[in-house]
Amino acid sequence: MNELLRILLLALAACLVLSSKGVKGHEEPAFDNETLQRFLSDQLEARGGATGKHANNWAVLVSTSRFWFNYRHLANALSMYRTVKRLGIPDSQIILMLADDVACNPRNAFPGTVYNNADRALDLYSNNIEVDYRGYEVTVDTFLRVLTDKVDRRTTPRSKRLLTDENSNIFIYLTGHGGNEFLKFQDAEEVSAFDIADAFAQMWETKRYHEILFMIDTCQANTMYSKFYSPNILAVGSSELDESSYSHHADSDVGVAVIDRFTYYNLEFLEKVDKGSELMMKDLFDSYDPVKIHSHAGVRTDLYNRNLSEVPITDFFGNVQAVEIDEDDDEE
Amino acid sequence: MLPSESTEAIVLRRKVVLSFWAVFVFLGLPLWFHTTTIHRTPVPLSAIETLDNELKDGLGLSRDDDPGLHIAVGVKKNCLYGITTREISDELQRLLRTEWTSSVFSLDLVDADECSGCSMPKYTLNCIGSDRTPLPKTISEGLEITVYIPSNHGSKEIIANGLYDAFVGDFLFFNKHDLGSIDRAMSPTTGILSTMYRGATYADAIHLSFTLLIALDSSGGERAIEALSPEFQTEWRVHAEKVWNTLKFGELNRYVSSITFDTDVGFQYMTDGSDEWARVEQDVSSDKLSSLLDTWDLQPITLLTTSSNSSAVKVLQFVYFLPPYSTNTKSLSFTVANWGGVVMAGDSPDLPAAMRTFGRQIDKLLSPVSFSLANGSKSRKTLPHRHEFARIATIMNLRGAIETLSALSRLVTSLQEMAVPSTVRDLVDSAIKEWHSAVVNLRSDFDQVAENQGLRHAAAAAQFARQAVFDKDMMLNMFVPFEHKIAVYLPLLGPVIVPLVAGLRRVVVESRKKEP
Repeated sequence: MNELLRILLLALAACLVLSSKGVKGHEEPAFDNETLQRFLSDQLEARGGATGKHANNWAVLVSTSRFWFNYRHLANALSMYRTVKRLGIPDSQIILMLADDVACNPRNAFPGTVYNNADRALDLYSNNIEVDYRGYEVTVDTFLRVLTDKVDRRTTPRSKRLLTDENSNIFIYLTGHGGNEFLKFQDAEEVSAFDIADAFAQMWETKRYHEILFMIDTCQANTMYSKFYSPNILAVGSSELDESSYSHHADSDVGVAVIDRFTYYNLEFLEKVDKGSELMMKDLFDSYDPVKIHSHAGVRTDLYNRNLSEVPITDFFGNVQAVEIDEDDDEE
Repeated sequence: MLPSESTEAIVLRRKVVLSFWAVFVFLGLPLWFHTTTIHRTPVPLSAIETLDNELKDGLGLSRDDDPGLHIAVGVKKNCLYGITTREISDELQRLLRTEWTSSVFSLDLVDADECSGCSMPKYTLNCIGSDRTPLPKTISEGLEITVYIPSNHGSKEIIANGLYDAFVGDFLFFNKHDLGSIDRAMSPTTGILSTMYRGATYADAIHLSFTLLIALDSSGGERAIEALSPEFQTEWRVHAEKVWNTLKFGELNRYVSSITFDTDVGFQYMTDGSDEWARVEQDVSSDKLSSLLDTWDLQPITLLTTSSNSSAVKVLQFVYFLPPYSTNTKSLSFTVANWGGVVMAGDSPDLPAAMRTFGRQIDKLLSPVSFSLANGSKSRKTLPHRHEFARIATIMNLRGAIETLSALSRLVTSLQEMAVPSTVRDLVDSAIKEWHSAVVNLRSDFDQVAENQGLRHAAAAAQFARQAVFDKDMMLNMFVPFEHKIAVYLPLLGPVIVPLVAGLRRVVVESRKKEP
């Protein structure tokens, strides 16, 4: 028995030694607030200051869940898609990633439709939607490649690329099942908070964004933005560490929950917003009620140097093209 | 009690155990090491840092041949409306802190009326004006730039001897209320210098895409039927070709290697029918037009690459939109920055007029200001052909290249888990080589040919740098939590390791027993 135990301990030690080779763990960045602020101001100084001016808005909307019972996650993403489109972001500037197709699922009592409300007043899967990545195309690798634009340019069409630049504001929305510093993709793999943080770092270095609004609706969502370290990122999550996020309600005919609480109350607020709205991001965040959401939504603002009460909602959720009407000109 | 093993069995077992260990150590371990090591090709980080320092030091160029835009101006008091040269300098200093201007532009202001004994700068800004003052048809030789300001605060007019001088004059006119114009002038997206800024991202080729977009409402429309006819579509292509020919044999051709075009006919089904169009007609505003643009189902533009594969193609879209009906006799046109232009037909489609408008929109997107020449010529819009602009574009591309390479350097250093394939090193080497070629051109006695070559080398350097930093194989390895590693490796390796270790231990114990 003692011999067996000794062998098992040796085996465990061998595993530990072997596992230290290869993928390394992340070291916690050793900085305090003061160092962070100095770093940020240096970065912003190099960029000529964060003036808040941006020229184009983009959206990356991802539902990472598969299977019929995760209907609500796809409805979440499609609801956000409808909202940003309504506010002006064109399909060419939206990357929509849906890990499954519930509209055509054999279990769907209303084939070809996706609803986010039991009254079924609005079909989110109606005409004029453009899904860029669907089904098994939605992987961690694809997601990170979309963010960093490290794609095969010969085979990836422009419509599936995030063609942002240093003047782009990007709204990134993730929904699915998550945990402490990870988000599950397809019930097969995970993306960690470190991976997303490093992807954002690459985006910042390659000047692929002006500002990012990162919104995530999963369990323990707030842990997903805890590792970010790049400037100009505003992050919001639906629940704290060790806290779950919940669905809002189910549709008895569809048979599953159709929307999550955090997303539901975001949409309730955003329905009041139109292209000319003067509502600010602070108004949105102030509308979060833990009693209604059943979890504590968190907002991370230390990487974001603008005052939230002066940041219009449309800075992230809407888009206006730089149209200039021509003057009458008689010359030929 | 187990029967004792024969000597042959013990020897065989020993050989088996040692064979397994030999495979594990000499094959398994190297294989595991090779497949789990993150492959990172060394990138010449020190060379990148050297280039960065070189650029900051001015590339070894003397002040005289410094490719930047350096303007020294003597300003007469009649141009200063309640503002001093010091205030202007301070304001410009603030505006000059943009990334673009701080590297290639400087402005020295001298109060011309108080400059006694000082060496007057190259340009003197003199402002005249009242509605009763006749506009001079000619001005004296020299470099005095006259700015005529109508007392009704209408558009100012610049009278100068040449394109560059007029540009300088237009840029420099300012008063207290017009400082906003300086802000706009310096802005890389909206200012007078915006074209130069855009041009600085120099594309070796330009592709023009002309789309005839026909609105269909529920009734189908007579216009749609007419537009579907082969004759109409042929006429569409012929007119597009005329625009293309004008560009191809114009000044633009001196700066790009190819100008191509294509034509297309598309249909836009208006779900709300004529009501949707009526709303646009009633309220013609940037917002409404922007919304309309969002709904158009234009064919995606395929980004073409030139045969050299070293630079991208600038694609501009031009859409001639035939609405379901129109209450306007005149067409409406608008330009969209970095995208192209749109002409919306009036009550009777006029293809030649639309094409002329596209021509003007192309000028607007690719050209700077309009102005009047002192010889009485009508104002023209044309690409800058002075060597300063080509050189500025060169240095802008070099800046872009070094910034991209520096970003790559920082990423490679800070993200140790990121793989760096050999293609990245090759691209970095190519970018550095092109960079050096461009700098050689800048330093040499330049002529038109050398300038353009320098510009092409600089553009190639920027392009190679971008390809390196966005290499699809330069991906970060995923982070795996420690407990996940245990959960994966233990059941995988445990059933193999335990018998191997047990067998080796037995071999060792038996060997020790044999020793006296």
